[in-house]
Amino acid sequence: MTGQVQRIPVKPDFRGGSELNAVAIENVTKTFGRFTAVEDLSLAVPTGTIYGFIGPNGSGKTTTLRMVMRIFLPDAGHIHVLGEETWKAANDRVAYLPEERGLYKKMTVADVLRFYAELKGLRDYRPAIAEWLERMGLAAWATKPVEALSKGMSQKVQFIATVIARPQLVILDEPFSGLDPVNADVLRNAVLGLKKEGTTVIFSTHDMAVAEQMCDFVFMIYKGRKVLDGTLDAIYSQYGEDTLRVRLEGDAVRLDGLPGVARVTDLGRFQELRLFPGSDPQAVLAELMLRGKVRHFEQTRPSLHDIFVRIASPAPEHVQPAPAPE
Amino acid sequence: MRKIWVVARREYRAAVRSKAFIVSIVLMPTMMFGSIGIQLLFKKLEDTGEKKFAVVDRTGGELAAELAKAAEKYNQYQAVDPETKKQVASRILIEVVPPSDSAPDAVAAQRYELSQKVSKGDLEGFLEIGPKVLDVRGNPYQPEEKIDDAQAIRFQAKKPTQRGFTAWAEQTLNAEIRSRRFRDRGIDPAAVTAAQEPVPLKYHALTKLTPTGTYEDAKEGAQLANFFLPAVLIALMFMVIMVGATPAMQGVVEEKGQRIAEVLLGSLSPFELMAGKLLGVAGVSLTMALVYFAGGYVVAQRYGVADMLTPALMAWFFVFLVLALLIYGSLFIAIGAAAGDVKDTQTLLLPVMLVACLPFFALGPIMQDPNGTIAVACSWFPFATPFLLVARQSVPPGVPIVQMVGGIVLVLVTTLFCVWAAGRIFRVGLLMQGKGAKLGDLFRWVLKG
Repeated sequence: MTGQVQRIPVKPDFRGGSELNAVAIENVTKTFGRFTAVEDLSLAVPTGTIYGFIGPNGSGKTTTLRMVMRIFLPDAGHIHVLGEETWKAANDRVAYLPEERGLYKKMTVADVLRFYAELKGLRDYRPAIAEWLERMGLAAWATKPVEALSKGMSQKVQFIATVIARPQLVILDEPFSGLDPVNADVLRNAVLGLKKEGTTVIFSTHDMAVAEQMCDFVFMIYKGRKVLDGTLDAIYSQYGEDTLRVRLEGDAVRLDGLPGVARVTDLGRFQELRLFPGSDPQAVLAELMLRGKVRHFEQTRPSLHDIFVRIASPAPEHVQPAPAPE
Repeated sequence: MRKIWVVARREYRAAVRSKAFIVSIVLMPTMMFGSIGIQLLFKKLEDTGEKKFAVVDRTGGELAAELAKAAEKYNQYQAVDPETKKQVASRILIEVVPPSDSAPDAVAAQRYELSQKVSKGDLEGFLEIGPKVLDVRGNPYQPEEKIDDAQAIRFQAKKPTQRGFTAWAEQTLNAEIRSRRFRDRGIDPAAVTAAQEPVPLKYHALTKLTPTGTYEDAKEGAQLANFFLPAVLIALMFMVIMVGATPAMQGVVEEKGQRIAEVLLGSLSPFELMAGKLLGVAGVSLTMALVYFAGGYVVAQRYGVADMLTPALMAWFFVFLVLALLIYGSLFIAIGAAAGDVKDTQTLLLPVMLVACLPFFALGPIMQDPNGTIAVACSWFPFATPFLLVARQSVPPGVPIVQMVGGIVLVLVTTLFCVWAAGRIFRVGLLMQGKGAKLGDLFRWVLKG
């Protein structure tokens, strides 16, 4: 815990030019025709951290990332990347792996990597390419055309192409989607390795478990607005221990109409009960014991998954804004 | 600039490894050199052995004897290259066969006997000189098929492929028959030959005043240039542009389809990406143009018309080629960015192709009068200017310098506009997925960005 204290943005500094923030987004709005993709968004990504972007499909994650990359320009507001706010495209110190990504099929793996290394201005690319291919277990594939690779392999090649030139800021849109557990681990370790070398990493994901494991900070966007932003601990403490995880013997026990329970989620082996603020868990336990044999009863904080679903379920019960800076 | 160069190099490499490029770069010289090679080959392969023909002379034998003498001369001088002394055509051997009795049965029997020899391969064929060939029929315009065999030379062979021999025999015998007819009438055949000596009509190009104040004809061969060179130059320019720009367009479609575009935009701006592609297109097309020019020059030299390809003309060609490449390359790349898939490009390409083909439609009037009203008017249509000015420049006296400079300015402005507009289409289209854009969308993107 103590190791993380310094990263908690006690006073989030959204001002540009600060060396503390790799990315500083100030009151940014982006519209496409009548559709507002991102509305009045402010966000600071501290240097050297891993920042997770979560949010349902179409909520504005990719638009935000594209604005950071200056592929889109904001209609209003300011974005500083590595302390600069110049509206010329593609900084060599920033790398981007978009969600929709592909490689030239006819080129060999080594040629593709060389192409991206040269684009990013890396002169002495040979050792870097060899080292990364070795690290990702692709050394034998260097001279093979990309079209011969499996999906997992080409995703790893795409990752290498993104980070080959040692960028200071790496932006990954859904880097782990579609990977098997082994390859996902390889990639996860590579991302953690980048952080150790001092690289700032922003990635978007739909996998809440990955976000919980890897991210120093989590940012959630919903319908173009920021709804969560902070360390995981800060986010959890916002919600408190309002969740009961219970298991009852037999399938026939009905859980509707329990006192003080806002929502019941059937997780298969467990049932998850979310309490209204101020409800008494003991009263719920008493009622449950009347209805059946309680095998397991646990009061816990909601997982990131739960928080996500609460915010983004078809009829969101409450869209709670991020905690105001103290 | 570095990024533009990296992209250009990748585009160039990808394009020159494509099948289309390899086929077109191999095919064209193959056809150029092939035509020469086949010619040479056939000359080499031409049967240089002996060919034996029988001659039955029913006029008394003198004509056959003359023919045999002429054959010896032919074998000595014409069938052999005078310098290398190498055999270049087959030797002709004449076997004079005494004529049979003139009764129809006997004549037919002799023809059958000789036909048998031809069938067996002892003879290539046989001539039969009719008994009345020295007589004058008095009707020079009588259709050939109505002339009696007695007044003609018959030739019989298994294969109708002895043209070389029959033409030579016909000419030789007729010359001999004619001089006999002259002699019969007391005219000296040599005097007739002298009197009949032909006067040639020679083509010359127009006379011009040189800077030193003397009058001088334009180079000969200009007649050929007038009709041939403009069409070749337009076709060449058109072809190298298509060969260069098409893979770039398909490349953009691939980048969209394979989702490579956005990865690239993480590393460079749309402008840099498009500029790199344009540079790649130019590289591919110029490579091709150089190969074709080299091939064309060799062929032109062989046919003795290499003078037509002056350095100035080639310089103009490459200047206008580069400008045309930028115009059409940027349009093709923009179409690639706007299209959803390769099929979409066909629809969007149609108006561009119609415009690009305009020089071909104007070719007729331009070849007739390179500085005429139609040619000049068409030259001011900027999408056709590069083609037409080069084509007109290839025909002496060339295009007035005012028009040339005006044309360059016009094309430059058009080029800048096209690259700018294409850049705007490219930027919007590159990240669009799914349905391809319509022509109207393109105009909107250009206007609104």
